[in-house]
Formats: sequence, structure tokens, C-alpha cells
Amino acid sequence: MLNQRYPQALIALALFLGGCGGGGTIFVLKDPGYAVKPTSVTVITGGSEESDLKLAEYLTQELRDRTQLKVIDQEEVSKAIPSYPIAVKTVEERNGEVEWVDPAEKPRLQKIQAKLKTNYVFVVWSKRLKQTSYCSNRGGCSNTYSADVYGNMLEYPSGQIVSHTAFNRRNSDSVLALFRSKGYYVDELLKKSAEDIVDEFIKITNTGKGK
Amino acid sequence: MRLWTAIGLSLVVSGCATFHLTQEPFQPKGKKLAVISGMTNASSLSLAEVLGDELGKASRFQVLSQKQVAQSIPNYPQLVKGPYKSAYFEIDVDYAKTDLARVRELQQHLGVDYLYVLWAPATVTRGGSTLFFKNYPITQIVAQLFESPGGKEVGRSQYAVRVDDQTHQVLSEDMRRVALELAEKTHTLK
Repeated sequence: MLNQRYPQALIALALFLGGCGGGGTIFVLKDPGYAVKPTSVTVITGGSEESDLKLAEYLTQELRDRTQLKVIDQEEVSKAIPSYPIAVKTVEERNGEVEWVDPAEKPRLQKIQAKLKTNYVFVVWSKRLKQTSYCSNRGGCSNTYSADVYGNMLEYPSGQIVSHTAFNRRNSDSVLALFRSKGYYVDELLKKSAEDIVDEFIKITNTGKGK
Repeated sequence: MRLWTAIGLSLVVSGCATFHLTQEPFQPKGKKLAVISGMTNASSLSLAEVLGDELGKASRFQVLSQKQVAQSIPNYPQLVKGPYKSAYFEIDVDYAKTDLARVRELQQHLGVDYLYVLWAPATVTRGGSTLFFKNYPITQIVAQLFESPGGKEVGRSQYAVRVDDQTHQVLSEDMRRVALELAEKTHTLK
């Protein structure tokens, strides 16, 4: 499992340095010289809670709509891997290498890739989803939601990790919360997280549509 | 200590009904029942196991063990689309969203008279514990009871149970209450 202290310290440091409402690494290649080929990718969730599933769904949608890569739908992933979503174990940061996927999980991911046959597998996790409520003494409460987003993209057939993602995103509700569905602000947070990853992905890999 | 446990328990499981029939009057048409998880996460699987055990003790249903369930359904557990729009801190229930075709398929694999499918999409911790009050993580659950043949829905559940933050196991006393209520309302109480 992710060591609780290191990623939190990393995110806290990023927040401190960034001085804004969320921070961290959105999407970075491990080797800046590596060229992502505009071929195909499968997004899989490394967790099995509702927020993990939604994040994978939104990231799939964003990659499909905005990049040149062929992206496998989550429904197809589910069909190909009957026990999907599976929990993919994670490890802490080691020697400055930000690899969240536990090496012991690589054979399992290899099997998934063999079924889906894409050149890349993008594993994402949404962790520590929190709700913080603030109630003023004049009445009325507001809620802030936050989540830590982690990701690793693996290249095949080598099975090497080529990118990493680790950031925190927050979203606060407003008076409009009264008129919105229960999960609206968390959905929005996860959707924005996926959008941000794909913004960076396109910038770094130059694989945006229309290029 | 017992007082606080009682207060905590009453807040979580006995504030509202944990099961209600959607088909009344209800008379059980068979005895074989299975409790299965509609998700692959650890909390849903553990809840299905604990509730199955408690239901076996509290009711006259012959409840399939999780081992039997896993032997009957290829690649169990599997994701079954559940009765909700979203489920982060609260479950936004919508019973029309359940994948009924998949439920019927599972019912056929299991060969049971009743199938109780549960989904526990999120476990939430709110605030910390104090000297006088232990704040347990809470797992929210939504579930449906289906009858064979045809997979007609005969009951629904929505409740929350406490989770021990040390062992990450659901408190069996909470599930005992849920099992007793289900047995009582389906007229199968031992």
C-alpha cells in the first residue's frame, strides 16, 4: 500500500510551494526525452471505490475526445477483465522515482494488457477523498471536497513505467448545492482532474487531435 | 462505555429501517438465499460474507456460503451496475439503474430462490474521536432482494454500518441488526 507519509508529504510540499488550492504533478514523463507514440491506451483504475471508477471513466473520455490515441472504453475493459475493477497495490516513492505501481503487480497488468492489446496502460487512483465542512455562526455551512490523484502510465511490450501523476484537487460547494445532485461537486472534482491530466498529456506528448 | 456504544449503534443502524418490502404481502416461496456483492472492493465483499453468516443464524433461509457463491459464479466478484447515480459521501439512490439482466444471470448461476445483492461503494470518516465518543468510519450500503424465477425485486435496503478502524472489519453487531430486520420482515425469523 502507499505509505501514508511520503505521498502526503510530497503533496503538502507541492501545496506549500505552489501556494494554491491544489497542487502536485499533473502528468510528467519519467524520461523527458521519451516520445509517446500516438497509438492506443487503456485506462484502468487501481482502486475499486466509486471515485476510482469515475476518475477512470472521465480520463478515458477525455483521452478519447482530445487525443489521437485509440482509447478502450471502460465497458470493454470490464468485459475483458471479469473481476474489474481490481485493486492494484501501490508503493511509496523510492529513490526519487515516482512509481506507484507495486512491482509485484506488473505480471497482473501484463495479463490485462495482453487481453486489451494496447500500447499503453494508464493506471489511476483516487485516494483520501475528504469532505470538510465549515459552518458559520450566522448559520449556513459550506463543504470543501478534496482528493489525491495518482497515476502511472506503462508502455508495452516492455512493461516500463513512462509517466507519473500525483496531485491534490479540491472543490467547494456553493448555495447552488441545494439544487444539485448529491455527488455533483465530487464528480466535478474528478472530471476536472481528468481534464487537467489530459491538458498536460497533450502538451507534453504532442498527441492532441488536430495536430 | 456500553452507553456510548448503544448511542453510536442507534445512530447508525436503528435510526431508520434497514430493509423494506417492495412486494406486499410477502410469503417466502423458497428457502435458498445468497448474499452477493455487486462490487469488487474489499468492504462490499466482507459485508456480503458477514451478512450471509448473520442471516444464516437469524433466519430460516438456507444461506449459501461465500465459497459456494464463488464456485457458482464464474469470476466472482464482478461489477454489477448498482441502484445509484453517485456514491461518494452519500449514496444518491436510483433503483432504476440496477443491471437487472445481470442480476437474473447471476440468479441462474446460483440456483437460489432469493438473491440479496449489496453495494458498498464508499467508506467515510467524518471528524475524529473524542474522550467520550468514538467516531467510527461508516460504510454506506444499498441493496436489493430479488426473487426467482424472473428476478422480481421484492425488497430494498439502504443503511450504514460502522467499521472498526483497527481491523477494517465491519462491526458484526451492526450486521446482526440488519439480518434480524430482514428475517423479521420476510417472516423467516428463527
